[in-house]
Amino acid sequence: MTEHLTFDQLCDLEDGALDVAESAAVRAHMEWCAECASRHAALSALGAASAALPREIAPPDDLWLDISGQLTPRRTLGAGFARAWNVRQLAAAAVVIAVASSSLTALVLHSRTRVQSASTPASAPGPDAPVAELPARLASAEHGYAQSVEALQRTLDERRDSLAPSTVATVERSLRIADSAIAEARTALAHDPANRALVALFASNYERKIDLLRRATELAPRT
Amino acid sequence: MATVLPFTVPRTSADASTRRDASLASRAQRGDEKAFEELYREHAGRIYALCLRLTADKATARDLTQDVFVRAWEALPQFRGEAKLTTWLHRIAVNALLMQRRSERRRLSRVSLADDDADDADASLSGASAPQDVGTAIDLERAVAALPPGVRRAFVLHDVEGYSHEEIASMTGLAAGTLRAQLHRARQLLIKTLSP
Repeated sequence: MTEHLTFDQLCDLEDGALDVAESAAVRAHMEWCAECASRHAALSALGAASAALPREIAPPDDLWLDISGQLTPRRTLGAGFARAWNVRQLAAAAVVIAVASSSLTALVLHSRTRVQSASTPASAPGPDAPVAELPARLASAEHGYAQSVEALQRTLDERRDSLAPSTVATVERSLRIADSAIAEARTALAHDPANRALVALFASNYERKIDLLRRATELAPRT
Repeated sequence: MATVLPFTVPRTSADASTRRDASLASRAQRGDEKAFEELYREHAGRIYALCLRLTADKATARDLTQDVFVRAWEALPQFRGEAKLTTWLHRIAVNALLMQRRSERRRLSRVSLADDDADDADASLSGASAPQDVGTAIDLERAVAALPPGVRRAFVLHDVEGYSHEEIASMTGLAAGTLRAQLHRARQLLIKTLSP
């Protein structure tokens, strides 16, 4: 070994990352090469100084006040279970919403069609049906739900970076399913606003979406 | 009362600090904010030191430390005690820092950490002599603060905090080769800076 040692070799020696033969060769080189020995000494001195740096530095005195102000009190039993929900359960809940919503919508629409006279065309919405307007009473209720959804969505967006990408993907997929269920009930309701079953279904789907969002905001951050 | 799995309290009498942490964490898991404040008092110095060295900025370090403890409070019900609390908090700090960097990059519409790729052709130590004094801790702290973020993170976690390559790779998601390169580069830059 006549050339100078590389810095990587010196670091590996310092870190104990060389095998016995390599380590012996590097040490032998430094026996006669003052330059490499000097570089190694610099590296060792840096290592010693780094390890000697204080482990603790006092944080600002008022930091705890800021932290304590942000601590959310632990929830009681119901919310405890909510916190214990995991991503799979969220996804499963979304599917349940979608299946229940579609089944109920179909059931309600089917019942309504049967009692209509044969000359009246069925008004069940197709998949490409335009978004119909709801009566004022229902639109107002929807506005209230939308505000809750928006607030929770904002919270979720703020926490998005703390969640694993796969978790975010599952949550978003679940929310899309919930949205689809809401849209389906909404379209049916727009065509039959007096139908109490559809009103209940519509409200229930929104409440389930809000519940999904709330549970999603309570998912633990990845650590 | 939230349902929380039992926290494993270490049996070794030698590690009183770990046992105290376990006891406080268990209480904090059940919602005891006083216990969490005690945990904060116990660990804030180390976490703030880590955050300050990782960010090289007092205001950012303060925000990051705050973020770490708020996240820790939220995640405590899932903490089972497999790792030491300090390690767990450090992991949260590194994650929070990475998230912060990602957010900054998105905001600035940058694809990579430009400062990590900064040209540093003069960093070679060929011919460099050993510094007569590697410097006071203050000099070293300043030199560490001046490192590019990526290499600074590798240096702080490995050479200052004493984490192994594997542990750092697990925390940061960095490949072993990348981590090794960053660490070596950090040392090169520091020796160069601290050399007379």
